[in-house]
Amino acid sequence: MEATSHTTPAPRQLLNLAGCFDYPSAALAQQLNLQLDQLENTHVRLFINDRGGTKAPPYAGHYLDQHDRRQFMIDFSGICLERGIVISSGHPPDHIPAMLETLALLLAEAKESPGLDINSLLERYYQEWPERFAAALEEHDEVGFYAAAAAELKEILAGLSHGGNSRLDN
Amino acid sequence: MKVSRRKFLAGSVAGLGALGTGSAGLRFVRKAEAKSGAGEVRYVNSSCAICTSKCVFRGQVVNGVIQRLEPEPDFPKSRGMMCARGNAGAWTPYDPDRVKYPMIRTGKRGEGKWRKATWEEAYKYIADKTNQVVEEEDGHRSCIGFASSEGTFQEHYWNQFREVFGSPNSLRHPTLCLSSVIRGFQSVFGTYPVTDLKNARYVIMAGANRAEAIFTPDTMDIFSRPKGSYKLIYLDPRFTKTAAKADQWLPIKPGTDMAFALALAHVIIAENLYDRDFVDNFCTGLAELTEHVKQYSPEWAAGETGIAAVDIRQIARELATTPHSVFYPGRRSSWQGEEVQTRRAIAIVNALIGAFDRPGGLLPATNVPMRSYFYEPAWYSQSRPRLESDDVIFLNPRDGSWVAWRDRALKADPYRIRGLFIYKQNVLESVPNRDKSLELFDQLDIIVCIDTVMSETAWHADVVLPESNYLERFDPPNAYGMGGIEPTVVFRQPLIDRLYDTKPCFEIVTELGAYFEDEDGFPLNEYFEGTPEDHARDALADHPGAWEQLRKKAFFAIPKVEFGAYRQDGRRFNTATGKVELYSEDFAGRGLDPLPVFRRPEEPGDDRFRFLVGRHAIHTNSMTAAFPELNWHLPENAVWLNPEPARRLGIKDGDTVRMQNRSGGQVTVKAKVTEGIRPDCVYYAPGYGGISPGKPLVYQRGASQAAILESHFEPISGNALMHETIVEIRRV
Repeated sequence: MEATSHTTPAPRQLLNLAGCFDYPSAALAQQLNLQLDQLENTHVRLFINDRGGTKAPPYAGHYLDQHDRRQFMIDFSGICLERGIVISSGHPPDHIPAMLETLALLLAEAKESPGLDINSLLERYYQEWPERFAAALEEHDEVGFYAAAAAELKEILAGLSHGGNSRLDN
Repeated sequence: MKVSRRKFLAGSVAGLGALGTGSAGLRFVRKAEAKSGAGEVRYVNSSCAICTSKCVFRGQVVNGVIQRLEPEPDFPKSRGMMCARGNAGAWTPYDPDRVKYPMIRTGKRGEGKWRKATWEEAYKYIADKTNQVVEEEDGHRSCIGFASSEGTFQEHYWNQFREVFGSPNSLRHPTLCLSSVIRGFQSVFGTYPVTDLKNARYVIMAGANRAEAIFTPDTMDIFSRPKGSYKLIYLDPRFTKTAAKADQWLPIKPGTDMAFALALAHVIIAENLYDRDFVDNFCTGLAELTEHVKQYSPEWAAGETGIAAVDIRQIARELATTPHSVFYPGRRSSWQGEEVQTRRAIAIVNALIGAFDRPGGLLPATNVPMRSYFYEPAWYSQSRPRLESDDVIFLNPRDGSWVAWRDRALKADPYRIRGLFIYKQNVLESVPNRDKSLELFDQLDIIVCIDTVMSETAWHADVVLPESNYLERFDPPNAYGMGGIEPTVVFRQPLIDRLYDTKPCFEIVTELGAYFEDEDGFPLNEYFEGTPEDHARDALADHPGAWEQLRKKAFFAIPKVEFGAYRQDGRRFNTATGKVELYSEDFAGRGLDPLPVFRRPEEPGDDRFRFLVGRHAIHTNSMTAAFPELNWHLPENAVWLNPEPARRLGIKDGDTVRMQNRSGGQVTVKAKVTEGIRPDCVYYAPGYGGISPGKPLVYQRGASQAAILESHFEPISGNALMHETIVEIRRV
């Protein structure tokens, strides 16, 4: 399969979606009209530690039905190594924001990398988990920001997987 | 106000995402200088941290991810074995619920509201609170207690921090584990010995459930041998996996092991079956012992233990006449009030049959000699003795006595404890009577916890500092528990880079030390010099090639010990008399029984039960029940109850029951009705019934041992007493 319709993406939106899952700043809280401690507490509860277990671990492997998380990490890490991408944030290779940034980089490179099969990549690493990740946030995110980001993420990845990248160009 | 999808999109993805704390553009990944190939497979040797055995493994790392941990075939202690718990450890760095960042509590204690902090914020928070309470206590740094656990190889740095900080109140794991057996055997042989099970032909194990409480190489040495090559007699009120593998299971009445051992001594002496050569040449006190054990006949012991006199007599004869026989010392927690004396009685039986320094017997725990880690001490004009220093006769100042200390701290007797710094010890799951521990926590001004997981204790702390996982850490060499016939030292090196914002203990205490000063205004971080790697190289400097061997194999061994060194003429044992002490003048001088005197344990009473503790084959105390691969095998524990009382109480298998102890501690748990336990006892496995919502697989599932165990300790060694809890049970 050749690198087809993803040759002119706007990876900026993937980068910014990745940024939505970073630890919240005062500026973000202000923009959202929320108290910073409320946003911080929500972020910790959803992604770091919470009673009953972290509510929405930001790791793709956590949401797999068909595949083993360890093998998923090993395989995806192999893709990163081949493409010269290093996860620099101390996270496991299936860290969702890191995977979004990786995808953004790969989409940007796709035009110059004829051997890069973006469709296979999307199918193997970006289809199985977004729905369950978004559902977890929809259920547990009291402030709504992270749920909205995940819903957007789910749509963008679905759109990409179906060969269209028009949303990214908007 | 909730952010809607519409508002999110209106704010534009670009605008909101850019407002995170990171810099613009790439925050989580970067482009490498050069591409490297996928499919890279590396093997890194290191040692396990899931139990005290510290088995060495070959970690297989593929594309920078830990694929699996395989046994290192050359490691002499584990005999090519890697247990289920060790295998399951490969998952721990990737646990989504591990502690990832420094966290500062924002809600009430235990409420679960946290904010992520920088290390500097966390250190400053700790130092501000701690320095304030020390000032309020007129500079007495003893108002801060320090707890830590064996298994991490960096615990000595934690002890160093406590010492230079200036508190005597150190609480380590031994009084929740094996202090009493160490004290009992030391009082007879001058050492806590290891056992040569590989060559033993006849073995008595009393409650040492080696098939489940795995301690390599003992577990491997005995259970990998062909049937018929040895005989195993096993005493336990419960039918464990070891009972299933034994030639004879004797469901002894709890608290009567001493009666059994004294009756063995009675028969061995009365029938002149003792090892005359060993006893005459190396022991002292035979005359006193002979007179003393006359009262302890097998017929008498049968009434106490529930074991037939004919069986006791036969076992005594077989033990004394079978070459290479041994009464295994065990390593487990202490049970009853006469625990040290019980262990003395077992040691005395071993002395009588000459089971020392010969194949199939006991052997001093010879270690690989290493250079000590040296640091300058700090001196303080304001000092006080440990809180519980008057409560325990042989109190180890570095170990303390957990239960005695906690109960003193609750009463502020003789002084007030204001804070607790805890390094990887789950106090709320491992110290008996969790309600009391929580009561103490409520009284404290500052609780700091360093851990890799959100344990019950971390959940109730004010500040949680994330330690790097054992598969991400460089740990200096460690020889604890590695002595014996094949003296070995092991160490750890990272398989992968540290995940998240975590640090090893050495870095944490060094950096935290910068926020404290000694009495002369000298910052405490300056007491810490070098790096763990420097310390590792220095420790083994006397062994050429050892460092290179450690880097390659993660262990270093010296030649096997030859039997017979202690049986040379003129060789002194490490006791006051230089002999094996059947009769202890030292004990007599301290007002203790110089020979073990049996005192009948308390009867539980009608429809009351003695609560037993004990390991499960796939779990290490409270540590592993929340590991998914292990939890899958046992998602919840259940209380074992004999069918006879179950029928009387109307309890069926699978019913939910409530247990209550004499101090009001309660648990609710499912019943497992089984013939595999005496009618006067109940038992459930450790690790369940957690109160940390941060451990979802065991949170409020099953019952916790710490919640039902009453608060008792043994005054000779300070060991917690794990079999002195009496419970009532009813269906709910």
